[in-house]
Amino acid sequence: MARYRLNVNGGAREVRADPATPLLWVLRDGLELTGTKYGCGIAQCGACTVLVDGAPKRSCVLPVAAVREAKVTTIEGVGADAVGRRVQDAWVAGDVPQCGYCQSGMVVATTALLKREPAPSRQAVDDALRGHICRCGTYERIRTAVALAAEKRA
Amino acid sequence: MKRSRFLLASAAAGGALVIGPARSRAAAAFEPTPWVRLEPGGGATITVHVSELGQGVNTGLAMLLADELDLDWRRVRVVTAGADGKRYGNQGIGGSRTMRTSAKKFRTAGAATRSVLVAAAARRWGVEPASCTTRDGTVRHAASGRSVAYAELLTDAAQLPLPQSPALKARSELRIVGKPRPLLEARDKSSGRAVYAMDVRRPGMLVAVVERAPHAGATIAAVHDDAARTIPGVHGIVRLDTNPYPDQFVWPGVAVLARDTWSALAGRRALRVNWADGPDANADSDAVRARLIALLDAPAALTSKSSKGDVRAALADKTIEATYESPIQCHAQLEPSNALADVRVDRCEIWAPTQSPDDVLGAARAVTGFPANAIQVHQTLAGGGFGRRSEIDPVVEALQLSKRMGRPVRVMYTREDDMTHDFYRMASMNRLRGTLAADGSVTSVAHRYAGPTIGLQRGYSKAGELDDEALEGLDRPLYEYPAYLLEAVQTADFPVRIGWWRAVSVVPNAFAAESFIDELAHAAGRDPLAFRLALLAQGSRARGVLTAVAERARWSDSTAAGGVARGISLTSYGATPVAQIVEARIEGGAIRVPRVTCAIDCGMIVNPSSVIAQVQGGIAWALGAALKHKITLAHGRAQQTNFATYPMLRLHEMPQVDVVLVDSDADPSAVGEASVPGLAPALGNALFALTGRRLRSTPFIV
Ligand code: FES
Ligand code: FES
Repeated sequence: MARYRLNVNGGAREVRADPATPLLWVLRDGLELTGTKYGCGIAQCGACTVLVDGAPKRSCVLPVAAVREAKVTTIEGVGADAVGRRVQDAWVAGDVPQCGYCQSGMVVATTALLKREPAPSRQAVDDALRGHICRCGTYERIRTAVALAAEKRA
Repeated sequence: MKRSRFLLASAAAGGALVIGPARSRAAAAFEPTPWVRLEPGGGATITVHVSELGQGVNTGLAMLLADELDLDWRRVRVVTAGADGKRYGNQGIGGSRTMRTSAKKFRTAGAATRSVLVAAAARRWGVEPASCTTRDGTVRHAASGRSVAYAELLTDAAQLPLPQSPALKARSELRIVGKPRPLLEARDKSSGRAVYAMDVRRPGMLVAVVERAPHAGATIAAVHDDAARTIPGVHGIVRLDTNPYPDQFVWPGVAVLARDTWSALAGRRALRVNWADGPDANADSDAVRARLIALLDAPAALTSKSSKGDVRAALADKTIEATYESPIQCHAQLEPSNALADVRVDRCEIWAPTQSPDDVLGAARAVTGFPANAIQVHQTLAGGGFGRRSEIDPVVEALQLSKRMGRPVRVMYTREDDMTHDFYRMASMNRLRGTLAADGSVTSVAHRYAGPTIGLQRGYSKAGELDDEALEGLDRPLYEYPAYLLEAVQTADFPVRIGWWRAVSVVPNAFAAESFIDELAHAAGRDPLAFRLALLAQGSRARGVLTAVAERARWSDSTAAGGVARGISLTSYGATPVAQIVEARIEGGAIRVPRVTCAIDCGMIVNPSSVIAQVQGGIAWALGAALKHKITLAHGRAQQTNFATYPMLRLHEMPQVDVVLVDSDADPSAVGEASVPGLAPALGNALFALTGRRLRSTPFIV
């Protein structure tokens, strides 16, 4: 057991955890930020994606000890950013979610993509989201919503 | 229940004992039926009796009720009911049946409520109710220019009797129904605020992960838990040897309970359980396959009543025979199975993603001995269902563990647990024989099914009688064959638990039937579309979707140009016919599907956006199944354990899906599962057109 001071969604959060504990479980069990989802635990589905210093990371395989000073942004914090908000709006307008369980990860990853590449090519979208599984098969609407969010940029 | 009785019963239930989250009541709210409550502040709460799994049922049912009641859609809130069969009737979900069974109930509830609000306003103004109109939560009287909000009529309306059979709107009068609406949960689901069972927390809660029997029939021989008990955070190790709820196959297991998920997982890694083998300890995929082949050849087949004519007497200028094979597949809904139970001394609560709340209640009664009114079942949002949530294995475990520990307990399946302890879609084989006359017309089709059935395995179907459930998609053939024989050799004997899965048996059955008719068309030298049309009754809905899909995809222009070929299929799920045209090409040895055109006739379309989403989702599901999905068994256990070995369809593999909604006056019928069965045969037919090679088993390998 060790004590960690994490920077999550712009605030400092204290947690006690075994150093090997994946950030996912620290967020969900320790900080009660349950928007980040567990789907596979082996970096295969993307449901647990969070931003670590702006880059999408699979929190299910990221030990809490490795996070250190990095800025962690979860789905709960992503809407505080204009790009993140636009992505969420596009997700609603495009009626993307079915069960919704994969969508936290999709929205977080799309936000990271659009911040890096405001007008991504089809290939760039594929590359950014190919690590994400949607078992409900919302892929077509995801593609449309990404385009909508990109178009709406100020 | 007849509509009149429903309304009387609902009115009576308004004063009944209140249980469940849906019904905390404000002072002057008006709740004329279990389905709607009008708030004094002007909002409306609609209660949906079944779970929202992503199929859009909250939004769809609310649209129906809100339209008849002329509510302001922006002020509609939906809550999911607790389990209460007396109040809500059947709350189970399966067979994409909710719209079919509930649309009328919700419309009637809306129309009846509207009618008492209008009557109350008319009485206040001393005018004829018929001279009043309603819109957006307001009654108006055009002649006098008066209007009043529903919220101001609640007390008066509550004094009036609900009409027994209110008139429903004509299609042309519907304002909300038929227009696309995003799901009500879209914002919450896009911002991490949606709460799934996995997200519910209770004070003092423990998280349990369970080491379950490795194969059917295995029992616990010894538990070595010294190391597990030393893991920080672990609170207890509990053996679950016996199943307290025999209605559900729940295997023995050893639970590791901890204060958080990671500690529970670490505890389980340190746990050693020795298992005593059950009879299926050595079952493997080869043995399963050999058994299916033996069944296919067994003399003792049962004949379906849907057979007609004498296939043996049919003219046979040409005889074609083919056998199709479908593997075991798992659900892999993205939120793994889980449940949270909080058993107290005299009451209990359960939070679960479930398609069977009645079963959850039954299990809670069996485990706790409490009466139904001491048990609250919360049907949470579910991260996918697809049939997996019809099973309540995690609920049965959580109830026992919470009772034992005296604390709330969440049972969480890891992805590996979920994939290795599923209730799988069964494997099956279908053998077809067809005959053609010299002019190329079909003279007979004989279809033989071999495989296990859910009903036989669970004991609700009788051995020696035909289990029609496994013959879905075959027992009402779409085509008018001059002679048709449907036979089956069915068994209870299968080494893994089998269960419902998106479109279940219709998928393998339609794969066989729709691939075979394509084989017949080619043998007859005919165009596969024209060949099908010749066998379809004029004016049938099946013919309607087939014609529609062919027009949209310009089938008649079809040539296998540019390395792309097309295949067609026609299937039906419930009362919903679906036709698909799939484009395929082969790229670097892999099958690519750039485009699917799909026409569906699901009767009255409540929310077109949902229908399109479900059709696209069904196609994604089916394409994964056709290209990738196969569970193999070794030592009675699935060898695939996670997405690395059971890969899912991903964004870059998703075809463009063009959905054609065929207008229809019929009542709403199945959508969620309807687009699944036709994909594999249409794809197989496209691949035949492309390569000349007929693929008769899924997943396809080229
Ligand atoms: S839970 Fe982390 S990638 Fe699936
Ligand atoms: S919306 Fe259900 S898994 Fe993506």
